[in-house]
Amino acid sequence: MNAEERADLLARYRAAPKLLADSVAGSSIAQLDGAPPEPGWTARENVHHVSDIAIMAGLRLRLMLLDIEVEMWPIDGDVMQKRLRNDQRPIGPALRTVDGLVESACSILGSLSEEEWTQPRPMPVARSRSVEEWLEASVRHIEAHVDQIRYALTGTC
Amino acid sequence: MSQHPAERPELLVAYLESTSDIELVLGELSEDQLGSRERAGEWSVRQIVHHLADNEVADAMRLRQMLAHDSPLIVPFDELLFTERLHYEREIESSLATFFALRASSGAILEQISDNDWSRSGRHEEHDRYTVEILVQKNIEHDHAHLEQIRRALASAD
Repeated sequence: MNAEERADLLARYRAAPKLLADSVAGSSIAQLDGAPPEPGWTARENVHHVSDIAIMAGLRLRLMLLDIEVEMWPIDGDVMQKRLRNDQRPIGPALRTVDGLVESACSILGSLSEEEWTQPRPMPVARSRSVEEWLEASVRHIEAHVDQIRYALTGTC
Repeated sequence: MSQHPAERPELLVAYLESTSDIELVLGELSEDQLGSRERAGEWSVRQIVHHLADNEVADAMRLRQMLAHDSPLIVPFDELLFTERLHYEREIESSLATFFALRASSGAILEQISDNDWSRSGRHEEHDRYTVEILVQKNIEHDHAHLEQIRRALASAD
């Protein structure tokens, strides 16, 4: 990844919380909880999922930088939705969580040396082997779920 | 340590409100105040704020793990290593935002769960029994301990 690609990715990452918030802005409760045209999560469930995974990603970034090898259990998104009662909770705290975590991650990333960005890390379960790969995966995850939210709300991406 | 279910609303209020005390004491601190510490070798106020945020990230994940999975492994972390590797000289605003947002988000989950969910547990190598309720109690104690540490650090700078 060259400097331009990394800067572009960072800009997309920094913009992701607003993209997420904008995707549900103005939606009624009925819209947030409306089933998508094909089986899948509602807009509300997607927002909570993005928040839950942002917490895991935030922890993963910190542990990567500590070179700590930790068992990261496989995530079953459907189980988390059910057990955390994501279909019942308001989305405001979840949106602010994503916002805070992205801001603090950007603050950490802005302090890293070139070596810290690219150094391979001992994370056997995670897909990300370096901070650069972590950033790429984080951006793609949020953007993919913004597409799912648009689909759930409007039937189109 | 386990509380009667009737006392949990009180516990939840304490869990949500202890962050307000921290917010109040931090207010708008100067760079000098953020750099103050109780004594040489102790954490500065800035480092304590980053520690609170990083601890909250870990505990938010632990809470979700315990609720979503059966007896997940809860791994303790070396907080000094966090201080050394995570550039704790950074600005504190994003860490504060993370700390407050995560607490509110975890609080919203706790407001919804059943009495039985409070007893869900994880495997923690430093605790024989580590439940959702214990995690919440420890978070409150952790907040209070660091709040007092911040107060002592600021007082020593006066």
